[in-house]
Amino acid sequence: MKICYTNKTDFELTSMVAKGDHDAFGELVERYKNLVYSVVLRMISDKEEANDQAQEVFIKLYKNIDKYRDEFKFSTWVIRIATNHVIDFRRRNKNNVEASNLEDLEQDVAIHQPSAEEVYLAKEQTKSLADAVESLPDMYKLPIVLYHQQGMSYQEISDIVGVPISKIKNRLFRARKLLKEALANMQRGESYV
Amino acid sequence: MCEKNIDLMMEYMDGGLDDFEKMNLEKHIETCQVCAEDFKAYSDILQGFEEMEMVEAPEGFTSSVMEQVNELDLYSPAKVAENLKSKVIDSLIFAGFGLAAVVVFGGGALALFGGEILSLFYGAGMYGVAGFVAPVAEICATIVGNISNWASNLGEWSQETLVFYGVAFLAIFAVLVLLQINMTQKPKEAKASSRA
Repeated sequence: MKICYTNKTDFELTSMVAKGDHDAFGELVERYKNLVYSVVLRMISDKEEANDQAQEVFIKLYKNIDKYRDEFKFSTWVIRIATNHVIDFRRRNKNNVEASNLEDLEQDVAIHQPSAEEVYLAKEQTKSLADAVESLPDMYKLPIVLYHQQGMSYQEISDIVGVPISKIKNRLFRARKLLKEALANMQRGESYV
Repeated sequence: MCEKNIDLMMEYMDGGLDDFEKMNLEKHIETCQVCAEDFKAYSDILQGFEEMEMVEAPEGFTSSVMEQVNELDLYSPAKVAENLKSKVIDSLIFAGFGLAAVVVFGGGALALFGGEILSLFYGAGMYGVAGFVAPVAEICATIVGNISNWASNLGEWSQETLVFYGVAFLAIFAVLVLLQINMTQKPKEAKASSRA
């Protein structure tokens, strides 16, 4: 009899994968590929690289699937692995100028200074919210993307990032303020500051 | 005053205000132009997020991941049995190291301080815990004396004996290291051959 994977919960699927059922993992990939890809893309900003890294995230998930416990939602676990993976990826790529550790960024409240080319491109492109989000440091970008784009709660983001809810709340508030300033600057045709 | 209202606006947008706080904020926004502008800017941002297109993974994403997963095939019964076997062998090697350490250090300690250890138990049996305290200093002094005697006797060992013990130790160590390398390389070779 053919198994209907779509009716299974995430936890049931992970148990099936750990018993050697690859199709169960295929169902998990289908369920979470857009979430993982969009978060990785927001953090890497290069579609091809984001595709490669998102795939690697799923391979990591597969290798560690037997370690998953349902004390956290599967999506929380997935995004935690994805964000840690991107941080490791950046660490390996020395050319990346962005700070690589979310906790290191704790003290860093300034938006990164874009290069002349970035400013030029920003002026040329539509002054969109997506551009402004992209200009945010990870410590603000990640909560705002997870909260507003993925509809996650403070608690889920706190579990993913590993900081208390109060800090997540502050980062969200600060992120919105930074976005407002960035959008205002873009409308005036200035750089993000 | 208005800075505080910005935080209230954030709470408002996240649905964190009660009716009374909401009403107060709305009243303030009606009368304060700065806050009204801020409120509109934040509302626009939130609306922008709602309108922002959901990013979708590229076509062929799932099949590409599954291709790699099928190659890895970590949880099939055969693979699980193989992993279990290597874990058991690793554990045996680890236990071997442990046993060797117990034999060498435990045996050495018994040979050097066996008499003192026995007299400690004897003292405890004869005089209770109080009997422990008095002879402890004396026993410690004897132990230190034994160690220094043993160290000075080392110099009297014949060269052949020293070479024999050195070679024996290195040989055992090399065998254990080779076993460990062999066990850790096997899974890598299996992976490489499955990719090929």
